[in-house]
Amino acid sequence: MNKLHHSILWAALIIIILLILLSIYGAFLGSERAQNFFNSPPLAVYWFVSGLMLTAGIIIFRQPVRLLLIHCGCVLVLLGAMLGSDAGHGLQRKLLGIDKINRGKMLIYQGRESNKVITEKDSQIKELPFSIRLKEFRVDYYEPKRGAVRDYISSLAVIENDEIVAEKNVEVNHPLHYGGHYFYQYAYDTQDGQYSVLMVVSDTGLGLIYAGYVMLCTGVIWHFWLRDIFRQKKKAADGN
Amino acid sequence: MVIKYTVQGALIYLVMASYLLAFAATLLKCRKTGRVLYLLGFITAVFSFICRWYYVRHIPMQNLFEVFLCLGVMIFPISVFCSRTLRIGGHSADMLIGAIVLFPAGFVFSAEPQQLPPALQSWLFLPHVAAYMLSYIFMAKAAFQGLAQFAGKNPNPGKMPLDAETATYRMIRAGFPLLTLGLILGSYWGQLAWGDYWGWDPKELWSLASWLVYVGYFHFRYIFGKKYLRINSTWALAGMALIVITLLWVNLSRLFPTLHSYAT
Repeated sequence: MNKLHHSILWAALIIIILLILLSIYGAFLGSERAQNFFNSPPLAVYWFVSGLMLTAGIIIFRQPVRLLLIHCGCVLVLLGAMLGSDAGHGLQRKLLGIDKINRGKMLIYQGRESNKVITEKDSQIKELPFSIRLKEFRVDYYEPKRGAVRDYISSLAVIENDEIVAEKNVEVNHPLHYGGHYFYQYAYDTQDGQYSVLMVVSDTGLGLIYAGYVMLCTGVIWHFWLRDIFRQKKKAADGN
Repeated sequence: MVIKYTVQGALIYLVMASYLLAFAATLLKCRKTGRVLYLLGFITAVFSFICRWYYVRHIPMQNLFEVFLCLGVMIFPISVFCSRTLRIGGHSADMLIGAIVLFPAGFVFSAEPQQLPPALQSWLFLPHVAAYMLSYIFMAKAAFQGLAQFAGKNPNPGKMPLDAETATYRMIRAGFPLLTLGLILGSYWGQLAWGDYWGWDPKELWSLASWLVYVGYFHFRYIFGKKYLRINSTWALAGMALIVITLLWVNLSRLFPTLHSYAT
């Protein structure tokens, strides 16, 4: 191992230990303050440095494919998370002129449609390029009309240029994906069930993150399990 | 501490008793009796798990009672797999671990059945929780090997036994992909259920920290190999400590307001 390799490995170790300590610190903050903390400028520097170090490691070390998958997967997750953050959305607005709502909520009455979203960050009202109609909202119970709730269901239709372009029953665990946004069942009119509140979340960067996840899992399983299994099989075959 | 005067409770106590007797028998060199008792305990545990499943009518992995019951079932197949395939010892320690993980199910956590809330009705429920629980058992066995390394003992069988440090490494290699799967499936599920693949929730952060400890272990061991055996083992023990915090402290303490609040 030459000096360069050695120092990169040391840097990796320090970055990992630092993130362990930061995570533990963040756990004591509670999720809201932790989110602000991990999005603050000093932490942005940390994320950039770790991304750069990972990339340096990928370039300088001659890694087998399985380790490349793991490390590139981590880089993709980092990139996707940066793109999807508030800062990432702001950057897109400035550079590409894409004004996309990162996070927000919309309230729709039964039988009506709406394209207005209240943003989570600064409570502005913004408009989507399409509107969403709430055909019906209902709550399912385990036993009729009492006891534990089984599910909250909003029947939605997406309307673009006076035409229905998509329809879906949005329930917990089953969001609607349309036009670069995910729509989630968030809240409802607890008095009469007249309206439903949807959470709107941008899908920017999510593709990169999922690709990174797949690479990371494939690499990890390959490196830690499959290699040993193949080696053992080969040994057994050689033994015969 | 509450004693459960139910069939479910009685079954759990029976399993605990068999595991403990198996442990005692193995210590007294009656290995065969120990193995039979361990197997009997396992069969009872499976029966108890099926009863619970039938009783609550969903996969019983929802609250801490069910999670610990499930750990008490999983310990046996994993210790058989480890000793047969990976040639890792510590069979008797597994029996003790089995009795220890069943203790909270038997005496601490409430067995009140709960209906599955909407967020938990997902195909990801089983793989996310099961991957984590299996990996936790592997990591517990790794920590045991790490302790053995500290104590200068070697629990591994055979004519050419693995040294405890290599056994620790092997256990962590077996458990780490499961830990990764648990983390990533959880993240994917978070995106589907809460609209967030990562919500900076205390449980998420503790689980990330425990995952990273093993990542750190691999890098450290890659740099130094077997130069600092004790530091290698310390990583394994630190990982286990963080896992216990992730599994228990986060849910039991009021310090951490979490979305993963299925505990009490």
